[in-house]
Amino acid sequence: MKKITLFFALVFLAFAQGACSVKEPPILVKLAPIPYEGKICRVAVLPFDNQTNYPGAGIFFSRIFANALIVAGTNLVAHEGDTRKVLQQMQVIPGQMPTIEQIRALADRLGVQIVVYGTIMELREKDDRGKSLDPSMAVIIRILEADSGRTIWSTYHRREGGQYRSVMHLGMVSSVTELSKRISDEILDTWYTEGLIRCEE
Amino acid sequence: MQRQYLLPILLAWVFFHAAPAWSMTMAVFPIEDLSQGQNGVNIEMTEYLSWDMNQKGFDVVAKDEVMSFMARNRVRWLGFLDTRHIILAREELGVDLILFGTMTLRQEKISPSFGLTLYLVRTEDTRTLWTGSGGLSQQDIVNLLGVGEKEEAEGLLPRLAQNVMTSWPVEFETVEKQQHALEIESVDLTPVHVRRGDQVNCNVRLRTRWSDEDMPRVFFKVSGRVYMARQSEDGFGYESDWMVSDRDGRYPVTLVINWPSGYKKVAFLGAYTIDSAPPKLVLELKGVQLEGTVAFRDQVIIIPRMLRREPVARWKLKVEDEAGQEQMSYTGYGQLPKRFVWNGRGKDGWPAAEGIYRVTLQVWDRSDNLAVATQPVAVARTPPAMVLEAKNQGRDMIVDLDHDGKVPIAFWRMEMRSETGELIKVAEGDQLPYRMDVTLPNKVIKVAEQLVPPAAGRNVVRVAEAAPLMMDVALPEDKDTRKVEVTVVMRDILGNFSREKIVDLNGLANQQELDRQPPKESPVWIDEF
Repeated sequence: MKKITLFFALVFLAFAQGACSVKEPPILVKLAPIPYEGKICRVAVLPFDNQTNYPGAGIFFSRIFANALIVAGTNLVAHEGDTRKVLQQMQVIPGQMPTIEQIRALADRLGVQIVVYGTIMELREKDDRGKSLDPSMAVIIRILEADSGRTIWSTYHRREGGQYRSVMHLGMVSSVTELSKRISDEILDTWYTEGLIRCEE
Repeated sequence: MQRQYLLPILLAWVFFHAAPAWSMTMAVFPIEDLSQGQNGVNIEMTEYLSWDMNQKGFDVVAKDEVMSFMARNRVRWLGFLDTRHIILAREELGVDLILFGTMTLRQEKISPSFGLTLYLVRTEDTRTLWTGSGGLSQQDIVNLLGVGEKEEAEGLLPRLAQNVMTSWPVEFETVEKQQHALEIESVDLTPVHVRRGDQVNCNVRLRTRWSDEDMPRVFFKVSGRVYMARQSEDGFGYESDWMVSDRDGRYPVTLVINWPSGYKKVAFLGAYTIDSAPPKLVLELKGVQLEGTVAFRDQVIIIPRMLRREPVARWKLKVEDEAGQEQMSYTGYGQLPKRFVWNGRGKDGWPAAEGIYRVTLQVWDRSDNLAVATQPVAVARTPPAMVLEAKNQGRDMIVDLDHDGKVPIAFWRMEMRSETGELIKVAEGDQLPYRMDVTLPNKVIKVAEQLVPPAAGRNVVRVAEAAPLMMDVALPEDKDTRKVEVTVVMRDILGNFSREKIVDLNGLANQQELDRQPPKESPVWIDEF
């Protein structure tokens, strides 16, 4: 009888471990109201700034974020090729933050309502000992208004793969791509909760 | 009877469910692999996706054709496309859809893991129809009690692709078509910084050319005024020149296209700034002020200061002598250096002659407005000239030391030695004139620590800076007098240095005494003798 009780206690602890992992929501700072009463259908995503040692983090996160934007209901996300071409014409290095003037020109050329620009603050793929996959990532994503070129929303979000663990090892995110996707989805969820409106609505 | 309807129903089911895919041609562009650095390609994933699309019923264009298209149209980058290349793919490859993407992660050292992001684009309107992304690692594939779990990456790529494509759309035709974008290939707005009355040229090249019946009116709009654009011979370029406004400010330029149908498209091209005010500039010279002018011996530091911060296009610093001859010049583009240093040498490298020079800094802003600042500067290299006066007063001798020059003295030192080289007295200081009272017979020296102004009208011995004093002041009656040797070292505040030696101080005193006596009256003839 005691052994059965012990077994159930262990099972309970295993479930409780997963349930206890706290997931802080993204921190959103609103500097100005979102234009067009929140109904944003045309967006340009700039190549993100990578402040980590992980090669290509800015490129792949910006693509995953653009991907998530389309899935979330944005009708038109400007092609990365078009965005890069305009940046090239304005002599802006991909990953570098354009000036307000350049943001306005870029938004006008691409016909978008807002421009999204981000910074990868932290990206780690393995655990401290480097023996198993345990990714963590922190990003800042900004919404820049097309008409003024100024930042209107800024969102900070940090996640670790282990925060998605449900039972024992199950549910844990072990690749940076999957973690990037989850972070992008969570940021977009926050944006839509806080005032962004899906195009089809 | 039932068998009679079975075949048409089956055919209709197949048609409605598979027709979209059957009727569509697709190009699978090489999948970029970020783990292989810039422009790395993942052939394995590309081939798998081509095979999978084929399995889904799409008519997939051969890999060689895609590669040939990329080479022909200079598609230099993988992982993304621009509108022009998407349209070209439709025209040249005849494809309805393009699938491209990026392997965002590929590591096989610890628990192999991969990441993939895919884009599906419709070439007709360049619209992105579908996107998918995801990551998968061996660690994610957990079997009960670890039975059958693999350590290698085998089979992980296809599994990842299938995971990403779980949301693959069954129907593409329902996605709304978007309006064709206005494609601007290049914009050349020059100059972007002008002065009132200058000309501005705007040249735009579009990727679209319209037929004569659909030809729109194209013009540039600046601050409410419109300027009709001239179409180039090839039909893609539009150009116009205009004289800018007579008010300073920033002027945005937009391209306006009006179609006969009434449709209008406006695109922001850029902006130019009218600036007719020259920069405000002052020059500051770091050095010793002498009679209102900065003087130096070795080098002078010139600090330019902009009273109003403004970007600088180019600048020129020059130094001219009093005759207007240029001795030195520096030129540069962009921001001004924080300081300049002139080492007092001319263009030939030799030290410039003593005198007054003019330092002039010319600064042009981005609109070519010129600002000029000028300051005089003096080159002073003459060593300080010593003035020494000795006077016998009984057994004592009074020695007055001074200098003759405009540059203040920074340091002096006087040494008195006997004939045998024995040091009698050392005196030093940083101010002149200076008086010493010396008693010689019993070698006791009194020094009056009192500064006296130079006596006016006195006869003095001037020691020339170039030629050391070479005068024999010993008189016949002084032959037996004990000689005192004096050495004087002086340095002025500019760093000019002099060292003078008087071999016989007594002799000098006697000579000066003789010079001070009034000339003896010469005998005159008396007429009435």
